[in-house]
Amino acid sequence: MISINTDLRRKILENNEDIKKCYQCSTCSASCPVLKYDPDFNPRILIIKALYGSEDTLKSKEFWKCLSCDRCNERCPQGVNPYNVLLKLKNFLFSQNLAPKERIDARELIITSGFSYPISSAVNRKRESIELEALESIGEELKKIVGTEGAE
Amino acid sequence: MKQYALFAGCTIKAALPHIEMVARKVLPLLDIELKELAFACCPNADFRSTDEYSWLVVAARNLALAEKEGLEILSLCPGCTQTLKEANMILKDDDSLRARINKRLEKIGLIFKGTTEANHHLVILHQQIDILLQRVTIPLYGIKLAVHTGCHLLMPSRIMQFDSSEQPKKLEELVKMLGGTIIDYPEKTLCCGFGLFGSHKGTASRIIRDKVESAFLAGAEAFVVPCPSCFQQLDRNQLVAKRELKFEYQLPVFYYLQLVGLAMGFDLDEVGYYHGRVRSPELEEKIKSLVKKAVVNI
Repeated sequence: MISINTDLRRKILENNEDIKKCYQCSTCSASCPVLKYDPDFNPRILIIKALYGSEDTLKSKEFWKCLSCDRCNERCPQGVNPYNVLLKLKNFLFSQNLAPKERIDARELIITSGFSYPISSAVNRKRESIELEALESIGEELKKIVGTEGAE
Repeated sequence: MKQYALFAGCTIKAALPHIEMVARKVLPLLDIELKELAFACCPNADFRSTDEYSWLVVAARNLALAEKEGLEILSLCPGCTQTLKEANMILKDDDSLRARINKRLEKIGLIFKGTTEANHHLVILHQQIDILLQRVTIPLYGIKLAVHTGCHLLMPSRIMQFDSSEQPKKLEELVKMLGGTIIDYPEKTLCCGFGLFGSHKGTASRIIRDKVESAFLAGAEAFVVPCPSCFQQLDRNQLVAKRELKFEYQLPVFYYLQLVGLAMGFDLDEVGYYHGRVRSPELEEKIKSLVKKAVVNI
């Protein structure tokens, strides 16, 4: 049984009118490097679920497996841009506090330090050993400007 | 000599600084002067997947820093290049969004006007291929290389506008300019799978195995990549995949500018080869003998 969440459906369609053009041809799935190795990740099915506002979508951890290679966008004959649909969905889940912890932590690391890798003393020692300058946090500056839309 | 703002990106700065080292060594010898600015993470696609608005704000800050200096950006990472190009295009095309984002940037005394461009060094080198050719002193004759362009330098093609996303050729052309031999292999356009390595190691390892197997069986002696994520995946993570899936063969990985360095007469140590985890003693000998041959020819 599929349970449909009309709020989710509205939210998804709000910025993704193009998703309605999907005729389920599976070009995205045939092009997807993740699906090639992991049949649980199927962009075509994720798209139809999103289009219906299926609540499975909210619970599914599947689409966090997307490698963001953009191949599906590139080949989609209908301009649905499956990759961007997934991005919007993931943003929606983040706003509902439903993103995986590692993604929330990864975002936090960038905001607080300016870098997507922890800047440890070991990193700076390695840099200095090959005559590169040590890295310094720019988190203070970033904290002043980040935040989801309308946060100000 | 043209000056660019160097965008090394987090992966290179923090995890693969030897690539930044080789870029700083080699690019000035190709008439490219580099200036350091206080860039943050581009930010990456993972960040975008949680908070697209902040992604745009931080990208706008990076672009605005370069604008303030009147410089174009030279990036060492396809992922960063894609973020910066896409954000630049989104902000240039949408007046109201740009105004809102600029309200945020105002707080730190910056403004995004849309006056700069960001490009990967491959794009810039391909535009001045004659300079590259002039500076090659030790052609990499007989070195058999499997080219892996990766995804983000190619796609979305309407934004990247660099090469064919289905049959990329530009990196191959750039390797041929150095005298290297291109080995075609079936899995050439397969994504390296780096994004899955942290969360789904088994899947990522199978992708690595297939890429390595495909290139190895086609006769390649090493990979060439333009991307630090692909580099990590095919270098360090190749050893993890090899342990996990117990395959026999292995291929070392070169970042393109390391090969440029070798072709300009630097040795393996000077281009940071020994910072890589996968080694090939046979290939190392072959590269060293290129130098000896070149000396004999003089």
